[in-house]
Amino acid sequence: MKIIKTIIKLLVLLGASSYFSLNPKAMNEQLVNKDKIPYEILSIKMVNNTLEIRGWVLISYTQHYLNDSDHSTELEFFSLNDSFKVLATNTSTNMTNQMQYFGTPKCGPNILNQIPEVCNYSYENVGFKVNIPIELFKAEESYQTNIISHAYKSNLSYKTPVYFPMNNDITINYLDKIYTIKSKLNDTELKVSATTVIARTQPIKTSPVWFYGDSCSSTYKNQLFFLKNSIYKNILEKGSSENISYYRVKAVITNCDGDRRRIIEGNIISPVWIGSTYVLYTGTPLQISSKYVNRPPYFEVQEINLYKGQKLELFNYVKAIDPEEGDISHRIVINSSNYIDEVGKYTISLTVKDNENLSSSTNVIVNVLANENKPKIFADNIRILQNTEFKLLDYFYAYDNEDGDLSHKIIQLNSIDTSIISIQELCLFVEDSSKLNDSICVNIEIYSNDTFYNKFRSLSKNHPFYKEPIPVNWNDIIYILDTILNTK
Amino acid sequence: MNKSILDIYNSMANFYNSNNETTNIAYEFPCLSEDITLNGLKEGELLVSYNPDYIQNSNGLLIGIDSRFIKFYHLNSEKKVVKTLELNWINNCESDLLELHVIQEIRNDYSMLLFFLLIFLLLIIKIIRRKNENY
Repeated sequence: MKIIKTIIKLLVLLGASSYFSLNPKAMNEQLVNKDKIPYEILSIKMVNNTLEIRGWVLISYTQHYLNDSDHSTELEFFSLNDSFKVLATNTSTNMTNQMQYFGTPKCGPNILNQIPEVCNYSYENVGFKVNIPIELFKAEESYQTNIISHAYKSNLSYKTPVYFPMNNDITINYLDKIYTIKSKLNDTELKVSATTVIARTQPIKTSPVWFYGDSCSSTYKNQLFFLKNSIYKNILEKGSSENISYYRVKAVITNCDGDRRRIIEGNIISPVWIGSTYVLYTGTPLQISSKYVNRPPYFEVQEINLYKGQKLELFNYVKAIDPEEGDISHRIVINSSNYIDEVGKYTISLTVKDNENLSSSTNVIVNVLANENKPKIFADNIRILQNTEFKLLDYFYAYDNEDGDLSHKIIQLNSIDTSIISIQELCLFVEDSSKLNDSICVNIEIYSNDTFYNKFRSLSKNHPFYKEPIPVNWNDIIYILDTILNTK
Repeated sequence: MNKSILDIYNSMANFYNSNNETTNIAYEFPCLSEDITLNGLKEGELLVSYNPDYIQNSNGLLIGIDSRFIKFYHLNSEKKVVKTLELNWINNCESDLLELHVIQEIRNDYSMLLFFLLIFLLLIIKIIRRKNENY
């Protein structure tokens, strides 16, 4: 029983440890230069609504790469406001020959962390393919990419920024967004990262090599080698062979170093090719950004009716709207116009452009009408008693030659407060069936009843004008009142 | 600056040289080649350069940087700038790496001149000989 229990425990432990070692998230990723994690991006394209990225990657000189059980690859995408990782599928690319250091044997199956001068590792199935649903890239964000390689046997996880130098950007239109993938060749600089990189005349590992200048040693004579850490700012061309990119540069010889004749960037020796495996990239890494496809602007217009002599306020009737930029009416340009201030029908041709020069055009019809066609509001200044209910039709009416009585269509443009003793302005508007209109403003005087009440007098038999002087105009007839009162 | 504020400021992102000292000096070829390391970024924070564009989301080597990168911003998790970092690039150091090229070019020029002089002399000798043959 004890033996069985021990076996079960061991199995559980083994299972747990293999789970954690296979789980990329359990491994801490270290940011390193490309010389420790050589990689190559071979293609980026759109496949079935996913962004498919293919390439190869490995952590150099640490362990054998054979199959899914000993390594995995992730791509990390991050922008200022977002980040996500996608696990890749291993593919069958074999880089053993390209990474081989000639003259040393193959490393033993469990030998870890050996330099190539001691033994060579196998790098099988180091290819990867990743399909990223395109919707994961948020609009108006610019993502940078890190490639992550997990080497389980050596328990290492390295990551480094991805460069995919190319002459032209890749653009993909999908639904309402445009995706741009860029990693500019002319923005990228190369830094030589190894000491034994041979200057080649063609972009292939087996190409003829360069010999130039004086001999540096009997071993290498005047064969040209790149100087480690030298920088190439002008990359003239990109080529590729056997899953490795090569860059064409121009060089000049410099002094001997390590028995080898060295070259640095210059203008004497050309063409010189260097494989991407031996360079570090600098500059802006691969960027994937998306934004909404620019939509053209459009006009909101209505036919314009105005009277002869009336000023044409075009922008009261026309608006230009851009879906991305909003109201861009201020950018409307008049292409042509036959409009004059005479009775008739005219056309004004307009164009507007958005920030990306997408344009839209329209024609606006302007009808200039004679004044007699317009309706008329008949209204004068009025006086109304305080607190009286104000009824528009009691005081004003409107008439149109075509439509007849338009009084019921009079619109009161502002309100009147009849509770306040004051003179208030009231503005009225009316429009006929031809969209012609008339407007007028009149004064409404609100008066108080109190002035009348104050005029009522306390009449008495003896004092018709009680406690007040007798008005002058009553002086002549006061005797009549007296007579009447006395008679009764 | 108040010491505690200074401590907080120093605990933010900093560049370090190979001796683990804070630095703002970087060397360009043909000067000393030295890796610069970034430390002080916390989870969710970023080191950003806007011209040229670059984002680094974790501590470690400052990768892909050349003399075009001068000004960086340490953004906190709310993407607000909490610190500006600058790199001063040194590229005018004394180095014998470029001198050979000049010497070589001059010597190459002399060798070509000597070569043409030799051909010229041979031609003249041949002409003189032919003249002597005629007479």
